[in-house]
Amino acid sequence: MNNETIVLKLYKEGMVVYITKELPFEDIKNLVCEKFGKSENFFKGLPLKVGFKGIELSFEQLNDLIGAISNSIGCKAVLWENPEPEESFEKEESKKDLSGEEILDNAFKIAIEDEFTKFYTKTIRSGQLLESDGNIVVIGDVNPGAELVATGNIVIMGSVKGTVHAGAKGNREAIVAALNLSPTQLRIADVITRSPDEEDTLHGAAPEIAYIKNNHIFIEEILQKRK
Amino acid sequence: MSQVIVITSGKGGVGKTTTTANLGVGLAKLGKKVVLIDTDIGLRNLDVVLGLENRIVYDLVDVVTGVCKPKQAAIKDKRFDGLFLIPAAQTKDKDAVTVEQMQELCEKLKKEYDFIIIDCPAGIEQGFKNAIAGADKALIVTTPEVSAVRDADRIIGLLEANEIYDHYLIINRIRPDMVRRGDMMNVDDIMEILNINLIGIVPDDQDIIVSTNKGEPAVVNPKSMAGQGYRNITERLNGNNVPLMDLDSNTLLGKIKKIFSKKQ
Repeated sequence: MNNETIVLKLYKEGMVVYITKELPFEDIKNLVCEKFGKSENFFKGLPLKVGFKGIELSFEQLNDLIGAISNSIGCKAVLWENPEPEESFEKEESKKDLSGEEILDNAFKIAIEDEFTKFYTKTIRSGQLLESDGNIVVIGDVNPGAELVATGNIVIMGSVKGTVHAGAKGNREAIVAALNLSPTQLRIADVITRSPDEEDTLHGAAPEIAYIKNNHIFIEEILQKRK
Repeated sequence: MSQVIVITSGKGGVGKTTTTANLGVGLAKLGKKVVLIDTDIGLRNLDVVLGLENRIVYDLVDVVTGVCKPKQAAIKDKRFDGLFLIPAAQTKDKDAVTVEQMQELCEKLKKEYDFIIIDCPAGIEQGFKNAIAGADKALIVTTPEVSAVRDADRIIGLLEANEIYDHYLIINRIRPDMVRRGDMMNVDDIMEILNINLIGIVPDDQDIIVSTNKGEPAVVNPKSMAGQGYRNITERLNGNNVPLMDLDSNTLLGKIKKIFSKKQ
């Protein structure tokens, strides 16, 4: 988050003090008082429930801290034992702690980690194995002898001649799409098809999509010709 | 009695994989039950030469690590009954297999098959050690080039160090015309250097390139000279005594020359 030793967070039930560094107790006490002192006016007149998290403190130390906080904010503070805040008091309140960069970072994290799509912008060559707990997008070709394994979908902006396995953990809804779909072997979940032994002359260079229907893998052109 | 035969050479590109494919097909055509094992992990080719690439689901690494049974990984050939292939893994490393695992696998396969033919990778590192681990017999492939013969000599030494004394030489890619002109080492020159038993010679043949690209081994082509060479070797492996190919008489030019030389 940030490099401060003491971080305050306000929850519905009360205030939690996060102590992020192991310091001598006196130093911690001073820092806590300083932190609360800054926002003296904010707390005025309210009985405040305060909990502590981050480091182990003895009961005496906790009471000592509560007393110090009461003095610095000019109102009564009570100890909140074993604080387990359920939700942020106000969402805007907690976001104030984040810089713009951090918010962007989080957004990216969600996009990448929650959607789980891996992007590759190179030709995948023989002997290379790409695995993903989600989708795979390749901008380039997949050569014979290369292998793609994804638990989700596989999309290739190029020609596929290697082996591809979508829905590797049993997802039969998974699809494989490519600009030129002629893999050595194509697997979706537990269904396997292989390329014909004879040269396939029917096969055009049109973008195609493969999916499971009635326990068989179907391959059709993505852009159906309109009559 | 089943045999475990390793096809090796030391040098790359002398025709180990082509030889393995052809001998496998040749033996299967003689009615034997044959399994070919590709031990060139990371650079597998035998499946391509046999035209079986699109059937691979499990590979050698899956077998030795117990992911599947040998029977599940053995791909049945599309043309010949009795011919099976255990392909190499393409996305793994040569260290994925150990010498002990190979020995164990060969012992298991001996119960099922008449011939277990192991395609060895080039070089003398882990892949080579794995390939020869379970073998009782070795066929060393060489070409009539000084470098290939030198490497074959090294390999024979290593095989003997690993107590494989039952080894035979295959001289591949002989060009009778060049030998006649004295531009290429002849069979006797090579035999003098290596001093081991010769099991066959295979003449250089353009058909091999065509058949390799098509995934159809030359041994089934009755017109192919190289195919004849491989057919002879399979007969010998099977215990039949077949005379060595007469390279000169099998070419058109040789036949014409013969006629003229008789008249003179």
